[in-house]
Amino acid sequence: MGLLTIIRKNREKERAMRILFLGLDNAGKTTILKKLNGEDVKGVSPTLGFNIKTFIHGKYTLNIWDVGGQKTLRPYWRNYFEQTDAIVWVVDSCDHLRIQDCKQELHALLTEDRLAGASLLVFANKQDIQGAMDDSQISEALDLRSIRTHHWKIWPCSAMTGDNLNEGLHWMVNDVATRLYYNTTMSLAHAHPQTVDES
Amino acid sequence: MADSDQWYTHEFPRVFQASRSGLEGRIASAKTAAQPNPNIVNELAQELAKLNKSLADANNKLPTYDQRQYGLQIKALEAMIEELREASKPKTKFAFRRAAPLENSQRPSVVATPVKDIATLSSNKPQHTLLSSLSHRYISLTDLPTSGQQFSELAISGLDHCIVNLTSSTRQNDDIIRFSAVHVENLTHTVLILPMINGSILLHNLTSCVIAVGCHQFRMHDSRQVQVYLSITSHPVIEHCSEIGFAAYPDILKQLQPMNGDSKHLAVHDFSHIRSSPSPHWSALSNDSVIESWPMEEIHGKEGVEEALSALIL
Repeated sequence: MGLLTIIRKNREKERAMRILFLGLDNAGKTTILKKLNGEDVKGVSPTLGFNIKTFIHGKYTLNIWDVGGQKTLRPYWRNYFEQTDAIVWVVDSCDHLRIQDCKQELHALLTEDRLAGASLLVFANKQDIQGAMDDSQISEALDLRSIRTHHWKIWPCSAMTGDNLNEGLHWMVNDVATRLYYNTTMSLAHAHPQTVDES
Repeated sequence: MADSDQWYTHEFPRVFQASRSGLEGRIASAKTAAQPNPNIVNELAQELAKLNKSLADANNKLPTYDQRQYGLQIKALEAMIEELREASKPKTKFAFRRAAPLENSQRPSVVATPVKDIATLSSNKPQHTLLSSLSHRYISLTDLPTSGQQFSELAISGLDHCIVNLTSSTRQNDDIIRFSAVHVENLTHTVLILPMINGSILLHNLTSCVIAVGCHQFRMHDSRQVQVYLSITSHPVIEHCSEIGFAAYPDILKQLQPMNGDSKHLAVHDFSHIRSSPSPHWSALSNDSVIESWPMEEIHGKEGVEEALSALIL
């Protein structure tokens, strides 16, 4: 029994995951979180700083950090990279004009050492709006297929209707769990996130 | 893939540790000999190379931390074998000689396989509505590229000296067009009159413009000299902007479509000025400087548009 075993056992007891929500401004990061949490999404203001939410998903506790995407805030993203288990990259599927910006920011993010190994979930948000790009168009525009350094998956979703939000989260939790807690069973009984507390 | 993953997660650590400790034991016993047999040393080196290769093969299936730990263990073994190799050499007469190149330790490269399957939600090809590169024009709903259709996403780009009125008063039909997302960039000397948007509006690089809009979220970047008439339930955001004036959405336009109740149009967040002091980049428009008469009727001809604009934009 080495130190590694002890650390892993300890981690297992907590079953916590640290998740980072990032993306350009107006992507819908906060709205997705509010929807997952069952809160009203009508009055969401652009995020100044960050929000933290804690969900229970299956048998795991997700500590979600939602950091504002305004250009002036992006240099501060790096302050949140430490010990991140998964990145959720939220894309405004209607934003045809800035999809190149979005690609650059994402690929710059993935070169970060401190995010090495983190699972990447891409949410192609705002699918409820007519004229939105679908997931395959976004996948192409962001050149996701060139990503070799992270496990990734793209999910089309809508923060307004709630479509696919749980499904995406479920994939991510499973992907992280197989890495971190691999000697336990991976099945998460049809999990619906519920709030424990919020700060 | 799942099965082999299982193997790596459950079996690999065990197999790896077993062969590692085996090697370690053999190295230790080889060391006890006064002069180790060079053949044995070579054999050990080969075993180690094999172990190293198995790690390289497994590298994308193991947790990063484990990978690094295994890598370090292999390095340690390498050093031990190198020591043995030195000891096994017969003592030679001193001579200047080039150092023999060290066996290159294979550094595992971090390559993860992307999860390839892509979930599909909707397969219908969506329509992208774009209004771009126009000047000296009056633009109404009937001028939109896909006029007559219901669409909900709109992009406006590169307009100069234009009046854009997309409220439904200009349209006699009953089908009201509803926008859910509007993206605007690169406007100069343009008046943009929009109805209530059931979502957000995002504006970039506007100079000397007037905007009237109702929306859930408002974000404006890299703009100057813009008058904004707004009905909004969240905090409007500006970033890298200057000389921006905010006022309430005009009453005369409110009659045409339902608007938000309480508007926060003066609760502006300036992301370029995150301090408690008031931002120098925006102000509330005073009552005598707000626009009273809006160009709701279609104006024909370049001169007519210019004349109307000069009355609206200073």
